[in-house]
Amino acid sequence: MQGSRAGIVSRFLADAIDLAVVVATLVGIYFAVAGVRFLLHPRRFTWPEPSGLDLAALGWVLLFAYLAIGWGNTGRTFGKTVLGLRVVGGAGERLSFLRALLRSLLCVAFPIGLFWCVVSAKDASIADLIVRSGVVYDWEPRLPAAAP
Amino acid sequence: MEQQPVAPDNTNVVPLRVAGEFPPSLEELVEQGFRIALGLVTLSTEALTEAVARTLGGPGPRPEQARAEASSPSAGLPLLAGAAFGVAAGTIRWSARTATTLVRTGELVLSPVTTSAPFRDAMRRLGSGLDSLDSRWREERPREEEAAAAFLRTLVPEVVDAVLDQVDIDEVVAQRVDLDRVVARVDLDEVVARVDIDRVIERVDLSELVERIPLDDVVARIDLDDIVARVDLERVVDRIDVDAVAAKLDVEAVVRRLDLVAIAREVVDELDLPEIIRESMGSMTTETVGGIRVQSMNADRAISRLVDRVLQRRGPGETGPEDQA
Repeated sequence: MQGSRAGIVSRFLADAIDLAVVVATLVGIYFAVAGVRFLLHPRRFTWPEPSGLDLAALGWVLLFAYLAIGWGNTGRTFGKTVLGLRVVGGAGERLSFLRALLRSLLCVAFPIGLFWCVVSAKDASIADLIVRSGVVYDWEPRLPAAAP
Repeated sequence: MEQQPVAPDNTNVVPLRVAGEFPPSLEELVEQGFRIALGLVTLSTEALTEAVARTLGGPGPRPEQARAEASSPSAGLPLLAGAAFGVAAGTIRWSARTATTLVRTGELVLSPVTTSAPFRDAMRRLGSGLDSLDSRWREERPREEEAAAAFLRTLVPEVVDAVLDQVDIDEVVAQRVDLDRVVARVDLDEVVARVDIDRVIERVDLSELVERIPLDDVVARIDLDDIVARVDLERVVDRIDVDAVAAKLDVEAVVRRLDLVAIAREVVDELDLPEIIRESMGSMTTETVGGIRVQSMNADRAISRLVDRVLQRRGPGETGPEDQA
């Protein structure tokens, strides 16, 4: 199965893990901000109360950066590493950073597009179709060649 | 003369008087007497000659040499001496017969005289005189015998001592005694049975005896491998009551003597616990991750097949994602 296209369950689980990682990072940032505030004004310290919009915006930004960095470097985020998946180009090559940024932007803006791979004969999501990329099983990690 | 039956040798009955052979004739007695006298003279002459030769420094004839000489024909002086003894032997035999004849002739000639009354009276008187002399002799005999015995008691030991001084008993035993036959006649089992071994052992200083034994040499000569190979160790082990041995052990004392803290510290030092934890965690993680991957991949396939069936596709990979889009 090494190198063949991954299905919806593996990809969804991997993305869920990535989302959890970002949420955990958000929580960490929240406690870090609170700690800094406590150190700066310990007597006037109150827990930060960010608005939902702020948190969502920060979460989206974090998720976008996290995915773009992961796919642009090794083709894997933490979630994809756990599930043994890798994001590659149409010919199996590593994605260029620009394509990774674009794919990340599409995935964050339109996450529901992932489920297109259920009906896609090549297990491609909407973002895959636009960026001409794919997600393959890669249990025995082998870095694909750099994008030409 | 009455003759009583001779008792067999294997009975314990001892007859009062055992009748012997008929007394030999006077002639035979005289001849035997002369023969013995002549033999004694011969033996003493030989002994004297040998002794004289030894005093002159000569070796003297050895017994086997003398025997060989006796059986072989001699010459010179020995021949003359032999001839002389032969003549003497013949003369003696002849003299004995002559003397016997003379005595019997005298008895015949003098028989008228000896049967006459005056001669008998004279003989009777002579007999009574002799009887009185004989009775006096009988009375005095014990005293004289006692004196003679006392004299002999003094004399014999001195004579024996003197003789033994001259005789090398060791040499005599070595030459004359067949020790093998003597030992063969001894019932050694009975001798050993009579020995009180316990008393003998009590007298032995065993520690001194053991000190004299070169134990290292003895042990060096023993083939221990061979001995151990002959031992049936399984039987030995079967005989040992291991439970009893274990019951005798003071396990608590053994444990008290152990420095458990030091041992534990050493064990921990030897173990690379972080590495072990890392490895076990790694293997656990690997197994878990492997399980998740397999399950999710199977789920991928199942859904893919389902979708293919719903969309009535023949299989994955026949059309590209672009076509689907």
